[in-house]
Amino acid sequence: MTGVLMTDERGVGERQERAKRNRVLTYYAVLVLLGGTVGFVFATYQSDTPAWAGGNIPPLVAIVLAVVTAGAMLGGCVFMKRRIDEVEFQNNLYASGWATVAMMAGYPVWYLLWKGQLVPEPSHQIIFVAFYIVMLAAYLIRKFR
Amino acid sequence: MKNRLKVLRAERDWSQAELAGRLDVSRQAVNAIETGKYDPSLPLAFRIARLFDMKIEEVFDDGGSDD
Repeated sequence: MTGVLMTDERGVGERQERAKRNRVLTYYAVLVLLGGTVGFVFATYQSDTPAWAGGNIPPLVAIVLAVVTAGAMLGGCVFMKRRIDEVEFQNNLYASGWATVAMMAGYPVWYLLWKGQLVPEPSHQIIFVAFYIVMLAAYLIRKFR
Repeated sequence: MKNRLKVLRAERDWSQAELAGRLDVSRQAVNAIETGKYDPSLPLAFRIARLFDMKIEEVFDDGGSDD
């Protein structure tokens, strides 16, 4: 690889960089498509009440959505680990670390306050969303600092 | 850590994307190294030095002395 990259041919690096960027963007597009599909099916599937409003979805649909979600996330992590460079990996590691700390500190605090009858019971949905928000914020701060 | 990456790149009239492609990293990574926001790993530092046919210490300067 190094031999190819050390060629004097002009523009070879830019082509390599563009191809690498396009592969990552394609992956993001596939993830958005899968996530959008899972979200759309989940949000629109209705039994007695909409799934997003506390209703249930059929077990088979739940299994299919869970498999797609797990496959996309796990496969995506493996793919990205191989594609992103060390700077981006460090950014992701930094963001994941802060999100983990926020969750490990936030949940017990919320739980204790709930037990003290000061706040509503901890919501797994809010915790999940908060995890992502903290991770995104940490990532953006690190990337654009 | 200081480095001469921007100068070396300019001497060859390479864009950040050109250098990034030759190093198999992103353009953002090159920018982060050039601006001193990120110190590359040893393997990447070696790749950079080899690309410019130099020793690592000719590209990077940690500000330390030899003794």
